[in-house]
Amino acid sequence: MKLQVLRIAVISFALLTLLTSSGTAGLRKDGQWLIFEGTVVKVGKAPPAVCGVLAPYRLAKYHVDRVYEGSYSQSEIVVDHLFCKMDVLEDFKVGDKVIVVIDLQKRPAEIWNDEEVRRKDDKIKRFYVAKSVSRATSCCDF
Amino acid sequence: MVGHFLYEGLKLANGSPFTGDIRNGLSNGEAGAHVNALVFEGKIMSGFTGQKEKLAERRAVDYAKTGVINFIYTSVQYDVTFKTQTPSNPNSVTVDKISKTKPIRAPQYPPGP
Repeated sequence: MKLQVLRIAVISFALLTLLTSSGTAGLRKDGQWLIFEGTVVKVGKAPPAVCGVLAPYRLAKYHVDRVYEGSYSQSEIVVDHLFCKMDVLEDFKVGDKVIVVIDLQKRPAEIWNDEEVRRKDDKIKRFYVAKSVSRATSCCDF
Repeated sequence: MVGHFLYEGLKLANGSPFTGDIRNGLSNGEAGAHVNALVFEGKIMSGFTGQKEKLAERRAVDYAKTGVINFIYTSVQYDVTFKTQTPSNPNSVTVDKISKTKPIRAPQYPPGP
């Protein structure tokens, strides 16, 4: 009986370890991510070129509705989206609800001011580079 | 530019991200293909100028107003003016003018305004 209890405990511990470590191993670092649900306030114009010799970014401003991970105290945020194989902001318009994942360890490889969302003379305390942006869905969208 | 393009392409083909984590250095594989290629480009430019070019940097902060992107090295800077893309081919970029100037400051990464 004792052996059986011990065996169940060992298996449970192993499963718990697997569940908490697999899939995020090597990816998750404390303080790396800012994840929030927001509303699109403005989408800047697309850069003239895609990734290559240049590293262009398309900018978007969001209203921060709810922070899921990390901390952010202001109501709005300007995010740099790398403009590579595809334009991730192409289908978004003002008012859309989105989930944005920011990699706090990254700074943009180049600073692009579109004179719409961000101007050359703006005082920037910190840049926020998007890992991903996706449309927020509710139960009834499925 | 060709060196940058080829080196970056090679790195991307080998699975590097375009940009990555630079905490272990700009030449480290984790830094990403574009960042590695900026360093590689600096080495090519060192051979071209005969001086140690520590890094290449792009400065595009004025692009929206001027159409100019600064290509900054340690001893030289090229200000490249691009033509507006044509509606029929939105992914094409044409160089209109290249001006050689003194660097406004040393190249840096990550870049600042």
